[in-house]
Amino acid sequence: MDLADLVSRAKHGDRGAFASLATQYIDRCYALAYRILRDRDRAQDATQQALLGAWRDLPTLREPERFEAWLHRLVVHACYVEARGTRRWNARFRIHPISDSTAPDPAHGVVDRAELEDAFARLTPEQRAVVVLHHHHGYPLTEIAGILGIPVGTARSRLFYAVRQLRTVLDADSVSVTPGERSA
Amino acid sequence: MTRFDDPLFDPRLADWLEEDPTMAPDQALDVVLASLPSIKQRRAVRVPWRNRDMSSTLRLGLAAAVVVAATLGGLYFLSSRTGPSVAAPETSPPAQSAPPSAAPSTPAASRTTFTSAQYGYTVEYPTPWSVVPATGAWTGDGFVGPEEPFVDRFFAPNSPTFVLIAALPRPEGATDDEFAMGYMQQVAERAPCAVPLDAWTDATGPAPARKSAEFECRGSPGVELIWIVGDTGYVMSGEPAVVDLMAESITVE
Repeated sequence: MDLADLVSRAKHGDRGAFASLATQYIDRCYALAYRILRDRDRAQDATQQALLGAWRDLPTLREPERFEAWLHRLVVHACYVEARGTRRWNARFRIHPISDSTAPDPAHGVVDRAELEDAFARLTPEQRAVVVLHHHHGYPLTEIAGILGIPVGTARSRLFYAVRQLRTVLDADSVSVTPGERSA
Repeated sequence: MTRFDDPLFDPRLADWLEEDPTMAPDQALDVVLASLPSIKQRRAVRVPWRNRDMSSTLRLGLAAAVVVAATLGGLYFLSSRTGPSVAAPETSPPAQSAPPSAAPSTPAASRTTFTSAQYGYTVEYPTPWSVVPATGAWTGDGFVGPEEPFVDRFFAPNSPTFVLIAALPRPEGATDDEFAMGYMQQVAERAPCAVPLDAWTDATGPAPARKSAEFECRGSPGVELIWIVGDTGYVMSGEPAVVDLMAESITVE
């Protein structure tokens, strides 16, 4: 059964069809939620809320082929609710094994990742969503605007300011740690 | 070299995001599937605004709404206007209750009171209509539409006609004008159903920053009404006659 059939059946109350959709998409929903929220429990909550909201509101979906984008919108909104529910950022400091061959210096890679975690935490949930949708899911800005229900210009400015803020924070951190590095 | 001129910055950002978990915990799916039987699906609202080719049922539904509007004086207001605007009534700001004299003497059954748990306002809507309350707060993202969970949605019976209400906290430091302009600029880029900036007019009345605009959406008329009470901005959008009707009765705690 293809996606359109599953969505059509689920729209008409077929729980089995929706279970198939949920099974198919839950990992992608969770991956998106985790990257925005940076917290496993809250990502799970947001994922569950989004999928239950999808079941409830599925009869209103006009374009079944847009199911995934529509579901992503629900996930992002659930993340906004989660993020604002606690206003607490899980400031975990994680050290990842170095596996990125493009990183010129392994030590630099570790620092980058820790710094990125910290810098990303300073973005608003709306900025994080655009960054994740663009840099992880690979959506173009027009598609992001459609998913989030915002003008393209707004999506563009959010991405611009988010990336600029990330770079600024990372630069400031590196300057504070190694003042001489900028002139190197 | 700084990150501003580091060509590897974007790939590093993507790599960093790539390393996060990609698998949902097993119990997440279990919770969703176990919860489905307890969640009722919404009814479909497939046609935006309303059809030009209305069935007799739709005509009756709309006629009922107009009768209610007429009862409350809205129809008089509409018919007495000289311009095309559907600006909100001059004598009754939405932040205040309609005067008792405006209330009909008998049609208690023709109006139902709704208090928004999400946004705290109270409004009267035509009794035959149904309401789907918002289940989340509007963050400023997304347009106020009939599919959005952050919107209180009022639907006519057996008809695609609707009215939508949502509210948004004032951004820190924003003036009333800036606050209102933020929304007007957003809907100016809405596709379809954009509302040009020059379509907005100031509505008279004591409520601050109150503006309205008529527009067309897929061939059918709609009206947007925005106003600010304290640090909250409200948006009401939908079928013009019923927006007028509901704007007369809305109160904010």
